[in-house]
Amino acid sequence: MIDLQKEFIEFHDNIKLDDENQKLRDKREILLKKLKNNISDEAASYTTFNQGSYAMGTGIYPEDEDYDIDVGLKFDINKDDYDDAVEPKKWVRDALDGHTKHVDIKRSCVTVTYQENGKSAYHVDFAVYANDNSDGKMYIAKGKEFSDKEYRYWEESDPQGLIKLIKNKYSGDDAAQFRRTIRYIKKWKTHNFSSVGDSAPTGIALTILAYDSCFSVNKTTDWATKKSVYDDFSALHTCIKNIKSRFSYSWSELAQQMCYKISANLPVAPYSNLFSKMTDKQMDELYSRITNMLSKLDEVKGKTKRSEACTILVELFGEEFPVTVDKSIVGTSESA
Amino acid sequence: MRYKNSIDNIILEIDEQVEKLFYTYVENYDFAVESGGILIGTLNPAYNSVRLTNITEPFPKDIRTQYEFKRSEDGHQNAMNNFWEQSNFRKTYLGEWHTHNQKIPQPSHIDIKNWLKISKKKNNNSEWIFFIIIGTEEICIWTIQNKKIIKLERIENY
Repeated sequence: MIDLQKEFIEFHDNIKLDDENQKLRDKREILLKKLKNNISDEAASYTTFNQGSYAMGTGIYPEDEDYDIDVGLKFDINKDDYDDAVEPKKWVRDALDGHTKHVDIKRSCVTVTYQENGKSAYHVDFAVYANDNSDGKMYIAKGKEFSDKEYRYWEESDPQGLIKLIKNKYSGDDAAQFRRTIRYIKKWKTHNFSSVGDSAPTGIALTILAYDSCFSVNKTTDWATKKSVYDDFSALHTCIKNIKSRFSYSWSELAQQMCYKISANLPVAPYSNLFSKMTDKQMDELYSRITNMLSKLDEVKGKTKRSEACTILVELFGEEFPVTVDKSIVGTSESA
Repeated sequence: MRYKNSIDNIILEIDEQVEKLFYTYVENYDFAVESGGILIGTLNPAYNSVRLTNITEPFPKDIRTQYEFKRSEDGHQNAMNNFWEQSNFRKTYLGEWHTHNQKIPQPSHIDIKNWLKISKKKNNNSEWIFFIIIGTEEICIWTIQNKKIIKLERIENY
């Protein structure tokens, strides 16, 4: 098939959003400063860390939704001293309130939303943790302000352990191909699912599928230069093929029909199934879209014209994928 | 300037500099002999559009008389290669243009035969090949679809 590595690298440059991004850093720093200056004296001391896809090196530019910055706040508290897990979240909410249009206590974080031209331009999610527990583990504060007591609780969590696992799975250029492949799949998701509702898999669910044996490095050695030559198309193709085969076909009580289903557990606490929020029907729909993607990738393999291969990839990933063409043969022309 | 093929909704976007160049012909050209060249641009399948970014103008080996323009490969192929390389391999051959000493230009039989032949070429990168004739008052654009010649409609000004 046609060598599309240059196109894939350019595509990756077009979609990647990482912690180096100055805009994101600035927004985060402004809020952290506000938090520091305004947090009440009653609040416990805390340290901060970056979590989420930017910290993992798998972030992409959002297509129609706003930028999402994830920050972890580790409070030096023992969860057993805070029967109400929402209390420390209120410290954060109250400190940031009044500075922006929206500060909300959500189930798993405190969200600050910034608006630009009447639209949500970016939001920062602060996850609140208790980090001074008798068992030495870290716990995340769950629940909303007026949730029933049973929905306000501490749950064991290890976001930094997760980042470490993803970052240390491969090293050097192999790790770079791993991250690129995750970004391609996440971009495919953003381009093919609407941002509302739970019908799309989460970015972390796709990341964990790649991490958990669906991805394998695809490279060859150039015998002349002894350098590794990476083949991102083949790495992606294999990863999608493996994800497809992770689905199992079984009866769905809820949908009253046979459905393709998938599960993948978080490799750190709380070890939850990352597809648990999707219904059987939504997973079945995901399966058919993965199948469709695989057949499009197979189609790309069979193309001999660069423009045709790129056109299919634009359909899969959006306009960020470059459309290159073969050398044109202009021939002659006769007009009258 | 945007043009549309109403059947398949393919959009041809013409860059301002190319449009200006075409209008220089409409306004200043004496039409004593015909002029012509190739159309060059990029493909934008996400928007079902093709963008015309450059054209070539007559080179010395082209044959130009009052009623014909025979474009040679000389000069045009080189220019095409340069545009291709300088655009990171994005620019491609998109078709042909030439002048007619007519107010509202109409393709001749020779033109139509030529267009059908060019559109059939297996090595075209673009699914759509365009043909432009510059008259003394108007510029008209056609494309070929299923061996039929279709005139594009102008849909929007800059």
